[in-house]
Amino acid sequence: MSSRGMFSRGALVLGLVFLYVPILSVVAFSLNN
Amino acid sequence: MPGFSAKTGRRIVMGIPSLWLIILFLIPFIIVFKISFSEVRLAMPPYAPLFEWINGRPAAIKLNLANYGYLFTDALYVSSYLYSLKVAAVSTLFCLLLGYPMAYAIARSSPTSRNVLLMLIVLPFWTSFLLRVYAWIGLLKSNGVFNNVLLWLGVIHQPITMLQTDFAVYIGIVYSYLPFMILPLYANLEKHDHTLLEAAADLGARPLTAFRRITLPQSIPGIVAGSLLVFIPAVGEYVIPSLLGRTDQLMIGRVLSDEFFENRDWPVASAVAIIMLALLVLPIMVFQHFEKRSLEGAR
Repeated sequence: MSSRGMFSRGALVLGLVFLYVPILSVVAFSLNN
Repeated sequence: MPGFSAKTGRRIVMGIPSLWLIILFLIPFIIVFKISFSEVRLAMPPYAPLFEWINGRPAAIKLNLANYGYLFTDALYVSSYLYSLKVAAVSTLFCLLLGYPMAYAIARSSPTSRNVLLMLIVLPFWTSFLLRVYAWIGLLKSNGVFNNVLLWLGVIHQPITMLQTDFAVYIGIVYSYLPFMILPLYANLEKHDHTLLEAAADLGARPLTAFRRITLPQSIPGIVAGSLLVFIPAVGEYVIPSLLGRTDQLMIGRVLSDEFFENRDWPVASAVAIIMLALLVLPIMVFQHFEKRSLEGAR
């Protein structure tokens, strides 16, 4: 894979993590007492 | 269909959105514009009428320009406008820096993966907007997830203030508007002819040069569309800076809301809204004018 492909895929993974962290945190908070 | 020409069909197709815009944009805009020239008064509605009627006829018009003068002389409004423009510009830049490679990766993936990835981009936005902003409070506060993780890793020794800072506002806006950047960029990048990049590589161009001279110029319409979709709502953003932002520096959306609902000064609030609209619309119109001229020059 080219460095450009790696960079864009890395950014995609980072972006998806950024989009899902708040959702997952809300799910985690909902499991607390 | 007999008696139903193409011209009539075209008029109906054009007429429906035009009517929609007239009812939901033009008429409210004219009302707000009219109120912005009124004087405030303790009554219902809380502004004086613009026209004085005698025997059913408008006898005099009372234009109050002081509302606009007030906005340019009071430091609160000037700093709020400048702060809003700065926050919107920086957020748009971050959205572009994160959204462009994401859209590029999606456009270069296989057709099956593309649909899944696009769904993954849109899926978080099926949950409540307010809930997602509140989730950031839980992550960014002093005893929140990020501070706890950083303390546990030993990166920091005491919690750092992330909530109620510009950083939190940028995070909130980039998070909320990222799909508005990715989707138009993807729509643009997906149409690019990949053989151009292969030809550039065959002719000895390095990948970065090929990107800079082929992909980037072709994707400018997508960048402009995405940037406008992020920048325009970000300038007037109210919820995100209210929940995550600073208390000593307000964005113009908050100032507008306070003028309407706290001070009940509808004329000044309307003037704030009109100036905000002018600040957004005029640069866009100038930009489109020059873009049209450059396109005509290219032909």
